[in-house]
Amino acid sequence: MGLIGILIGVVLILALAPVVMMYATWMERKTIARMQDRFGPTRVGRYGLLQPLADGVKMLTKEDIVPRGADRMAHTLAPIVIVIPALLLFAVIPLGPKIILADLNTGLLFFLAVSSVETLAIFMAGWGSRSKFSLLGAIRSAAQIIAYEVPMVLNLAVVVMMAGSMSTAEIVQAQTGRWFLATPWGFAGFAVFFICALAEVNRTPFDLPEAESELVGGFHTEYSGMKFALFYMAEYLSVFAVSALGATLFLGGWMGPILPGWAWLLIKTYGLVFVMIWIRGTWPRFRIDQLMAFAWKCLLPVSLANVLAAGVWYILPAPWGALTCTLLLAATFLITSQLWIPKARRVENPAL
Amino acid sequence: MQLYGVELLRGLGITFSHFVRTYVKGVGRKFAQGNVRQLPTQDGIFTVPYPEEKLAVPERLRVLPFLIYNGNTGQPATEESIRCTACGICAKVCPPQCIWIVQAKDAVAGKPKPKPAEFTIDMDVCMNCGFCSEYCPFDAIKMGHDFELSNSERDKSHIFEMDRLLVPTENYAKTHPGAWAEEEAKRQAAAAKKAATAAAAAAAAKPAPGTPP
Repeated sequence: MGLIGILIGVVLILALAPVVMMYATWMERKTIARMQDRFGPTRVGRYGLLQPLADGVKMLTKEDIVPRGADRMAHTLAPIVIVIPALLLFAVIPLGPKIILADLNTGLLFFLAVSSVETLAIFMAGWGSRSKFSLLGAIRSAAQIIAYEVPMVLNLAVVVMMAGSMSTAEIVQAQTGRWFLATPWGFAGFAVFFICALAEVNRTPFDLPEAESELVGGFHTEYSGMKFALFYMAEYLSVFAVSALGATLFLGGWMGPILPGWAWLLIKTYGLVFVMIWIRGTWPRFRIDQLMAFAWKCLLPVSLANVLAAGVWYILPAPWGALTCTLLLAATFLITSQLWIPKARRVENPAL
Repeated sequence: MQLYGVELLRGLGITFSHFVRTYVKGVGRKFAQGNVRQLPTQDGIFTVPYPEEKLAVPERLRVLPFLIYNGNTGQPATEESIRCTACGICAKVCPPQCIWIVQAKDAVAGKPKPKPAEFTIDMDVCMNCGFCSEYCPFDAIKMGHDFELSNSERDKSHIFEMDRLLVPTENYAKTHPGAWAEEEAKRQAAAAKKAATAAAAAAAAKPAPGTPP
């Protein structure tokens, strides 16, 4: 791809990303409203379709407040730093057989590395605001992302094992004929990946960094106006990027009949975004100790088992491989989640 | 640690069914059908987008008082048709004293007439208690339903003169069917009783001229 092609791609991403983000907020508000038997935004434009624009104008014209005693540098930089990685993530999402902005041979690694930078920005925001709520939110965010990065990476390692490449384009190619979701290790991997993705982008039920009921707004408590909007933009872009990655790695990416590749990828991505919104409309938040326990005691063992299970599935002949793989994963999940122990017989750790 | 796995999935099912039902059940309902209050058992969307769609108000809702005159919709009020007799009971019982009445005078003789020349209610003072309509012996003042009173001008539009207060009985019967029926029944009973006593008096009085003292 020449320089011009790259430029076009970059411009497209920069132009479309805010639109995608704005309409993701619209979609979220509408979907949640419907789940609660409401209409959602209806005032601005038909079906409230212009509501995101009105919100944008509102955000732009609001007063920008920097708290007294704040670390101005960190406070101002944080919203900028958080948006850039969210935009960079789209570079390695293949929209079609040849349509990818940067076909890195370490695409997956790039995605993980760049998405982890967001924690840094969140911590900058928390530290720079000089507010206990912000700092608590930021600390929680750091702990959470470190905890959930581990099982996520382990599951992506399984995908890399099976596809034999870290390039996102090649991972999609490896799913010709069968999506990774259709295999036992792929299914478990997708489930764990999706849970970790929710935690990674601070969505319910893992939205502790911005838990309204305890931390006011979490790391963005002290932000207003356009800086606040940038945090929201980063959140929704990350939601979109992580959903696109899930679609790419497990749901066959751009592959699908009749429609062009980018359309299939969009359909799958929006499907996953919908599931995220759906979960937000349904589940309550985890407590911080439950959150940590879930990551280290349940997701991590399942992910490790998944690495082994994928290997077994690869080596053993077809029916036996799938059977062993499923059994191994199910057993690990049941043991670690302790779902099978009746509540009365379960001994809770008093320290937790 | 407990996961409550099954219940989590059940929760997802519940929210999704609500999501679907708002589209399925809401299709026929562009705006609230028949202006009916929404029941807690209702499926689909509960929300009423207010200015376009309004819920029916209960009949006994009290907002601002209005004056009644006997007549049909569109018929102008005449002095005879106005039920108010300018007795001033409403103005006396009004706790915040928002009613101002000037009694009409005979144009020729200058004698006071049992009709109001001016009847003024200050909307900002009225506290919507409904005492005026409770105390009125002539069913002339009633509590209205129009609650969309706010505007950006307060010197003129908040003072309700007679021209804005008068409502024909036909309209009143439509907006307050229950109260109207009750009052009509009472009025007819009273009229029947009056007629009966008048007839009895007439019957008692009739033989009088015939009989010698």
